Amino acid sequence: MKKTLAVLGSIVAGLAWAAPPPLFRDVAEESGLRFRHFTGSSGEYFMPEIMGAGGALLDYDTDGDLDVLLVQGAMVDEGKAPAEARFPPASGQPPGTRLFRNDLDRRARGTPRLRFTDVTEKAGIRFLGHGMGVAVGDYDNDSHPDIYLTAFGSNALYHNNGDGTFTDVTRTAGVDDPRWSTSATFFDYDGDGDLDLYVANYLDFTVAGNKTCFDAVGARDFCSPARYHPVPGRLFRNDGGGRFGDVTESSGIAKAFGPGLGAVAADFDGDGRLDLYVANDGTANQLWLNRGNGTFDERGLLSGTAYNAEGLPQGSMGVAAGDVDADGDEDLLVTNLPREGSTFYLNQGQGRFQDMTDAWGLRAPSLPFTGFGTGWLDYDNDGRLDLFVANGAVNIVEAQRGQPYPFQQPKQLFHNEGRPPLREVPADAAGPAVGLTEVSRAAAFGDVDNDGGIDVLVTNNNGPARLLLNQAARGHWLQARLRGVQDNADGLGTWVGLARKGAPTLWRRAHTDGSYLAGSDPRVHFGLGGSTAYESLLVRWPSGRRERWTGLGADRTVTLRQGTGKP
Amino acid sequence: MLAVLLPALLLALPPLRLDALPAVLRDRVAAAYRKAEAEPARADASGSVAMLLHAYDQFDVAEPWYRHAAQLDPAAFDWAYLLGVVRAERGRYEEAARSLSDAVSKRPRDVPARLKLAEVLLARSDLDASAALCEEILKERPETPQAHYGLGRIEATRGRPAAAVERFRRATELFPGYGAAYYALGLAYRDLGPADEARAALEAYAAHRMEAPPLDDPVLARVRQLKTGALARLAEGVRLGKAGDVEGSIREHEAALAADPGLAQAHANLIAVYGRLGRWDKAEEHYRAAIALGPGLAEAHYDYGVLLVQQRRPQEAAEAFERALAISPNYAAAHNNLGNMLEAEGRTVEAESHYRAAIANDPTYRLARFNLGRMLVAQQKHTEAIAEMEKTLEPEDAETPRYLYALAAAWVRAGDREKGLRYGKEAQQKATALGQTELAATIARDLRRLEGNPP
Repeated sequence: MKKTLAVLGSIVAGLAWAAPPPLFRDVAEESGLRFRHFTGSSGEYFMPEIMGAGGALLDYDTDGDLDVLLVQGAMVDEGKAPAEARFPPASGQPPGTRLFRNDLDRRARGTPRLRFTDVTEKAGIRFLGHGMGVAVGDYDNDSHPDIYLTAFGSNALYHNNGDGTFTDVTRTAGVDDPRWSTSATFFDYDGDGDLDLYVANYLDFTVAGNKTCFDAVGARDFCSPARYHPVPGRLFRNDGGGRFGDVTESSGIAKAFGPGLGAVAADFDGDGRLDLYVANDGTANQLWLNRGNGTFDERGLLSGTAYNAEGLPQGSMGVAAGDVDADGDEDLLVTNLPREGSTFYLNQGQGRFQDMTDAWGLRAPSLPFTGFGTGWLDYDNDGRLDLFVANGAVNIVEAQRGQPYPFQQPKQLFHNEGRPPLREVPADAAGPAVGLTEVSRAAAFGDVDNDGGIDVLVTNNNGPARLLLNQAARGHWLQARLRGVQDNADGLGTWVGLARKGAPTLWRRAHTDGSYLAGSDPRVHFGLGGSTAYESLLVRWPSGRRERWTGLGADRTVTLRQGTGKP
Repeated sequence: MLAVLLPALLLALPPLRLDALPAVLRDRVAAAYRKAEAEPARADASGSVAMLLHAYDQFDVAEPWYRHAAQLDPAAFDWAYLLGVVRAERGRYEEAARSLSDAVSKRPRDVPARLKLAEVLLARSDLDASAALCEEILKERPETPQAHYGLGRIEATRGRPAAAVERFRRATELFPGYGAAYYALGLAYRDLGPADEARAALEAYAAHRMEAPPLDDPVLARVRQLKTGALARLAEGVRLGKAGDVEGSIREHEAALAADPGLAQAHANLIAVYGRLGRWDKAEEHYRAAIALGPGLAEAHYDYGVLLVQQRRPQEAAEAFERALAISPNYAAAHNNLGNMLEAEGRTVEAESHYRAAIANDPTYRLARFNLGRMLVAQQKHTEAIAEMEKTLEPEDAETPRYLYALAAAWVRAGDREKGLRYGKEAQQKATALGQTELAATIARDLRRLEGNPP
């Protein structure tokens, strides 16, 4: 059944008395996605305890539906056992990062039924360190998505063998970093058809060097990042043959750094090359503009994206890039700390941004919260990008002082009305799963049940993973899976436009990165609103090659294989 | 149980969960609460509770107490104003605007209240009302930089960069250290086109990032003064230290320790502070105290190591840097300094690896690159040495002549006299321009020698 506006219109007419269903419903538990994050807390307020962990939506078995990977924590102080933790692991929760296969039941009558099966051991994933984030990308172009896991400690690259199993190839690939890594992103910065890898690093925190910090009223609390030294991120160039080279210095990326938490690759100056934006906690954010010769220029300050409108550095955790105002370039959202609020940078073209947080109505609703995972998604398929933010504090929430884990905050959903400001969707309309206060971290976006609605995977620090199934009344849609031939296999970084008659072209980028510690669905999704009509799909691959497809229809997922479109 | 929930007889007072507050604040709030309880009709008694909570950033709890005080004394400016301030802190802009408008109606010429209201209105995208307030302030006090800045922000939001530039420029003329105004000015110039002006404004921003024009706000000052105790003194000590007031910094740190002798961070900070004055005994005393309380304070070991270097005690200094690195293996400055110590002992291989570790953990650490470059020159690895030294040339600042001079020497050692001369002359010019006369003279002497000895 297609959950289109037309269908729902007739239902609503017959059931006028019934309240509409919430826009999102958590189906994690009922679908078998049972996972509870373990912080590894020993009561010493070790910073890594409060920062993780991530999750991803990826079709690891290439069966056409999105599977789920959830990053797990471990004891931060390795000298202690999990049983000694302040919040011991949930009973029945196996240790380590977990992979869940989506056994989507398409034969069921009505809506597809989701069922997840934990296949971690079978898949050969054995990542038992204090995990942080995940990046997903098919680095060897074999059409099977690979996984890069970051950690407080050594990271790992898992090669997807294509038979449902993975192999840890970290050492041979040369992509480890034993420092505290956070978000990572696969993108083809040199346009050679394979995915390179950027890894954001955070702080030089160590258990031995843990500092005692206090909140505003003198109670013990997690430290500010300013109490530690930042550690620079790294850029690895894919040299082919399963090997990467560290090009951090030669690419220029080493020229500036901060405590990195979020990273997203997109073409921010409209020159057709993929740039990189890095969100740094409490220091200037960096906008690395790709010069096209293997090097980057740092333009955060002049672009207006290093600081907020007042020239102040902010918490800068999660990042989301998307063409929010439908003018053909990508705008940026950065999630921050309470009393800072999220910051919305509107792209004015040629790499110039303006902080338009106030005009877009985002300051007041975001001011009380600590934002982490975030993304632009068209949840109601009206053709406009809406906004989701996963919140969860890192310092004690006053109203929860004295409670066992006083860091809980609600998630937030904002609707794009086609012009500013964005409107926050009330929690009763968004659904209890959105309004539920938790310590949320990653948010990954994708159509988990292949019904044309974007769903959201949310991870919770010291809490259960949530799978927010989209059940909004939605418009028509089109989803495109890219198959690169000269370009990378999943077409990550490809800029796809849906040309419409009498309306601006809608542009979306194929990506898995952005948000915070998360990996999202690489398919590009377009909401078509009340009509199934559009002119064509325009595709600009990362290499610059352009193609066009027509007659693809609507309310379906199509596969666009490079070279099969019209020039 | 310490819970002091609202007694049934005092329902008129806002709720307050004292047991949820940490001990340091609980007693003070409890005392204020008792006064409010004893005199429930007195606005200032309830207002005192609110101010105390406000001082410690307890905005959610403070708000109902300010509201209560404002209800008890609707004519009072303070409660309406402070209620608006905490509502703004919570992002409740509509209510904040109401409270601040109420405050302004009571004191129409109060500048802080009107500026705060203008800021809240801007945050609500009520640009016209915000602009009107700023204009009104400027009519009365044309030399209010904050009002010009506010108008500049409004013009920038309206997409009028030329008008914004005028406002921001005026703000920086009135207060030449206005960091936020320079930042906004830089971006407005960028939008207008003149790249040099944009760059110059952003450089001025970098120099004055945290500075803002003072604003005489006696009401808010009373709130801030309520924040006392060891941590407040420590924070003030750090602030004074950054501002260059060493004696003031020591006073505040010592006061923090008097209030809480277990404050390891205060001891750790005092190592460097006393070190700046050459008071080794005091620095050592605080080092011992810091590591007794918190052996994991890597900075304490590092700062102590620096003091030992200054006292020409290299062996002990190396040990201190090693202790810092044992705690924090990615500590770039400790790697660099340990490299120095090892190099002086002739342990060049180890020194080089520490310089490399320093760079890996801070690629912008020019001194470590310089040190590595020197070592590589000594090893005749000229190409690699020059590559490292070239990376020391950015950003251009007072250190640049020194690094250029070193690069010139590296080129000469590599056998490229022409490049050596070129970089040497550039170093000399820059040193002269920066008033580094001694360095300029040294470079000039070397250049003469080099020019006098062609190959």
